[in-house]
Amino acid sequence: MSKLWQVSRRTVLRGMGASMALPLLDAMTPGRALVNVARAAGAAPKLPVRMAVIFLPNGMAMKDWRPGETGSDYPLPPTLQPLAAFKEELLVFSGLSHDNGRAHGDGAGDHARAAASFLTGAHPHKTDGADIRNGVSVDQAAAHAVGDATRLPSLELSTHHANNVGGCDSGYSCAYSSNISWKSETQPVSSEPNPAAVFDRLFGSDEDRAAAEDRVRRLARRKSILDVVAGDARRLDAKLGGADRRKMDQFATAVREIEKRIERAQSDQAEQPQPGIQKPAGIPDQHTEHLHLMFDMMALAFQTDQTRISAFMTANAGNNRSFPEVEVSDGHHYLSHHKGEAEMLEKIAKIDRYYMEQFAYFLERLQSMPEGDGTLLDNSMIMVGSGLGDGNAHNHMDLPVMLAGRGGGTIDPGRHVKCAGHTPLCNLFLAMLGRMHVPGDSFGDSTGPLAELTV
Amino acid sequence: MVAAAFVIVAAVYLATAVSSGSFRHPLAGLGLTDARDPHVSRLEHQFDRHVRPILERNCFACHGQQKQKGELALHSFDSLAAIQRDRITWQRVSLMLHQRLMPPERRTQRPTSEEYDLAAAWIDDALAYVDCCGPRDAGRVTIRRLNRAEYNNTIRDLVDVDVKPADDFPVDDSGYGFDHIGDVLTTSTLLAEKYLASAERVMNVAIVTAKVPKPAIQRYTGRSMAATVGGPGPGQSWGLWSKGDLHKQHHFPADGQYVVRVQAWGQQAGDEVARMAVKLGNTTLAEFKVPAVQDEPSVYETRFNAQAGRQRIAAAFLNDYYKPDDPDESQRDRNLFVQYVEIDGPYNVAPPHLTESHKRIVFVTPDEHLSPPAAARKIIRRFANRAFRRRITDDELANLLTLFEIEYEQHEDFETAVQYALTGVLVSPHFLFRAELPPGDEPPNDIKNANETAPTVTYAIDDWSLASRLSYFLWNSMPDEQLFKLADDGQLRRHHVRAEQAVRMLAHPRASDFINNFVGQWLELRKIDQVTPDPQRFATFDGELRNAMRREGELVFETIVREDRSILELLDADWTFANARLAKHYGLDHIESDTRDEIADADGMRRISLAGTSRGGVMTMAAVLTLTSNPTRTSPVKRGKWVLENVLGAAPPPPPPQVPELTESSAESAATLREQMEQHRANPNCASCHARMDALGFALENFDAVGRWRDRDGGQVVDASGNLPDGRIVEGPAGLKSVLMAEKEQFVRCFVEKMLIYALGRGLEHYDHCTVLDICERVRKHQYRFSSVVLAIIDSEPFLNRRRAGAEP
Repeated sequence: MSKLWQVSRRTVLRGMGASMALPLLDAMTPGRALVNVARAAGAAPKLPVRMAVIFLPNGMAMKDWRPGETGSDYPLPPTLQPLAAFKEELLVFSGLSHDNGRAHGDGAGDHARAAASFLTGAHPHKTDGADIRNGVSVDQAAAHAVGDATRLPSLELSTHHANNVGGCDSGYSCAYSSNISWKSETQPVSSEPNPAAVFDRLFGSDEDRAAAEDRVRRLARRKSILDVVAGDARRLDAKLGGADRRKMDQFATAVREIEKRIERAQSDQAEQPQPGIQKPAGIPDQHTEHLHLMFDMMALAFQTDQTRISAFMTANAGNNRSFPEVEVSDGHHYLSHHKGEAEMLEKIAKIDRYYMEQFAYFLERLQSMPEGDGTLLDNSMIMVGSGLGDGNAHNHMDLPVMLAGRGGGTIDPGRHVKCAGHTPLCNLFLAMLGRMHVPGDSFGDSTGPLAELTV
Repeated sequence: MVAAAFVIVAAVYLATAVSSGSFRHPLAGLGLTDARDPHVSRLEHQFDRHVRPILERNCFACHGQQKQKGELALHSFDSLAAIQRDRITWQRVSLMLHQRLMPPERRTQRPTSEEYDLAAAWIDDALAYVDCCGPRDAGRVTIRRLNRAEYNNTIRDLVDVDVKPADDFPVDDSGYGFDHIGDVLTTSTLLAEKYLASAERVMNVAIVTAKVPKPAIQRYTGRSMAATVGGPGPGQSWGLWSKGDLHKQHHFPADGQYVVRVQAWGQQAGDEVARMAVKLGNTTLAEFKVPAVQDEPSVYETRFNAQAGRQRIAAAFLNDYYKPDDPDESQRDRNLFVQYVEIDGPYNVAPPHLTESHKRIVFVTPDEHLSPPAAARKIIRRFANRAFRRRITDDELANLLTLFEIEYEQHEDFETAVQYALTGVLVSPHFLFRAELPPGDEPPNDIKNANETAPTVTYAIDDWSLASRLSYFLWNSMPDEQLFKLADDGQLRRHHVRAEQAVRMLAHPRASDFINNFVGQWLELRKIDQVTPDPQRFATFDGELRNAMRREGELVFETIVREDRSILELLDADWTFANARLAKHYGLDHIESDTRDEIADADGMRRISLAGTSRGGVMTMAAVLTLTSNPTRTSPVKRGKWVLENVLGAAPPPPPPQVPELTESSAESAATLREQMEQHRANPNCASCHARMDALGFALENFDAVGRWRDRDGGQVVDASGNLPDGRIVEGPAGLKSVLMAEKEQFVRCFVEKMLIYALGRGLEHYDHCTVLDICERVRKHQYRFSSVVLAIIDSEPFLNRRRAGAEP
């Protein structure tokens, strides 16, 4: 049998609290031996639930996105056609909204607000730089609460790697339009656009993998350096005031997190999991290939249980990329201001469909990975959507959002659900956090966990 | 908390000012020297007489004594001073009034249009007003971590190695148009991981830890080796019974000389003795006759050179002899027996090649007079002084020395231990951040009852911080030895020393980093790498042209810097840079290159004259025209907005909510587009800004979406005229140029503001107004020479000082 996906059991168990049921990955053992062992012992095997959130820019051509009928027997609208094979795994929502994405007196900048509010449900403070404030994002809330269970608390991905230029959106700092993950009110989490670098984070760098015997020494050396650095940061912090201190705290926190990770690695003699695929060469020229590689990395990270939480910003808010892949030569952002013109709407629908094709690729990857009695997709909750509804109207209500996967049997997909009124999108987040075993009864502007996830 | 106050206020104010036909600066022409500023009196008078009554009539019902909806109590602001103390609130009030959002439409009591305008304009005026006679607030630049470009350059100058580790770092977010703003830059775990990996990588390249290995003998018995033929012989020997060899993959620790010794004997037969070859890989090192016999084996040896690494060493039997029918039994069979093969070495190993950076950094080595820790102390101190861009403290040195000691105690390897400690330096926050601490060790938050005008709220940044401010401003990198020396000697606070340094730095090759970074962001040239004009319509656009477009902008700006020309040439130069490709794009390929210049660079860019053409100035550069277009067509709105924002410094205020942003239709016809835009402007909410934006953008309509000249668009003659709100008509690029030149003071102010933001690494606030005015004045006096902008900035209050923490006005 292929050894491609074999993972050492130690890797999987690493960091799990003793009280937690043991998650078992098929990849660890030939066949399903361990699951069967566990079952024979009378313990139901409990596989961890994974959570991913995927951001698409500029809203959608809503007419082609939204199913006409609700329930389980709805015909797939044109934009969702590429997902036909996964219809039974999809939960398409209508009526979910981010009230805090609206201007509320702050004027223009809906693209920046769409990205900033997308996972936070917060109203970003309008500023070009001084006093940046938003809210904590749902992925980071989960990572903060349960991220310790895996080597990486969460994995943040993107595709943008060019330097920012000029203003990003109407008086909003680029921090708002180029980040969706926020660790705290004041700290966006930077994302990795290079699939090769993601690979290294997950499975160790070339040197890490080449010389296993040096690993112990390397960890110890890094640890001592970070000790000194942490001391420097602490002493410097004591001399700082105001906003300086916040910046140094961010640095100190980052250092501490790496230290923790090293300590965990030191106490864990298990080998790095073998990825079973070639390391990507870097950022590919073709956008489709880039998206696919990032999806590959996410699927791998979930499968090898390197992390259970991931956020992927496919493009910056207001991105004006053209899509030669589907013969659209106009920029996406430009098109999104379609003024109801059929020709432009058609092009937007083409782009939306393109994104759904790539999303289908991701779902296919997850579904191809067996786990327990089902697949990795069964144990995942993958939310995909945009922080804007109709790009022309720049509205933040009734957002195009859907969820794929069964959340370890806690979700009944295969439906289009119309939520009442302007139900906060945060209600969905709250429901997802519950499934990640994150304690708490509110998130953002939630009014309660979204009940519609199950029938 | 003042946030983007200045930018927004300026923009809103200018929107008002300009819509009434004037570009005048709010403070221009004010009497600023009177003890009792007449402007203040006027503002106060207007407030009591007009503004407060308007607010009272229309707002107090919900935001007054009785009710304070949204916790807003406008009645409590009873004076100009009170309003100026709470800018955030009043900016919002202004925005609400400008956009007619308050009072809500359902209320019957609402201001008249004139009252709305009057109240909003007064608030803007009041908030923009700063008394330039009083003590200045230097502002507070938030601690800045190095951004990607600064990190790469600093590593280059500090360590002397040309790896660009920051290219793999996460993208730096930007604010105020630039990507090195302290408030905006954050440190994520991902980035911290990369700092660590980068430090290791840089130090691996910089410090050579390879050693000359000591000679050693490795012996392989015959039986322990692999053989192609034969079988075990007596003792540990191996017998080669026919032609073949006995071999071993041996690891040679270094390039050098080795000795191989083979103990062997022959089972002799026939008319010659056994012969043996010793081989390295496929090369025969030596051939031996082996007359020795079992009772007296001999050792055969030879010297050879080998390269480091695993190589096959072999002893081969060359002359097999077998005559089974020989009557003499002892003469029937000749065989070679090998007892052992041993490798001795290496000898004469060349010492490892030390890189220049190694020699510079590891400038002493321990000897009988200098213990390893003492030598390490010297090396670390010198390196960390440069890396931290100041004199490190003894405590800091002690911490770094512990790293050396940890490593040295374990492995007793001096270079490796030094390398390790220096890796720690590159991950230290003192290296990664530029902290500008107040003098002495005063606790940061002890300012009580801080009087906002008291001089003690600001402090002069120390000389090393000043050296870094200069170098990161003009070089995008760390200070060099000369700047450090001047800082050490306390010279940099002297105005003429600073000026001398700035002039020296601007002439230095490193100034290119400043030039390209600044112009790449100010003019948004960096964007040209990301635009994708429709290949169907613009087949000539490719990577080469893209590159030439960006280089044009960089070289024009570089020329103005290096030749210290007037910054007004950015608007109306009659020369530019182009290579053959770009000149063809411009339809100027017949123009001879300017004789003043040889070919400027590797891309073949050279200076060409634009006299008599419609080009000249940043607005007509292909890069700017392309990056302000959509992939399929031009966008007069984007171009107009670009001119307002980047040339006139008057970013249009955000459009009011509920009013859809003006978007150009996909209609092919330019005439239709113009019609649609005119309709849009019929809406008074849009008109005030769009009238200006559109007019400025239309003037550039003769340039297509990749900046080529065109007389016709879609079969129709291009109409490149626009009407400014004050009645002036802008006609084509020449008309635009003369309009902009008429507003040159506005341009100068915009340029100065952008440069000041760049120099400080923070956004400008209302209190920076006076500084900006001073700088503009000085620039005007020096005929707008580029150097005067830089020299005025490095002498300015906010460049030399910093407000204490907790002393916010």
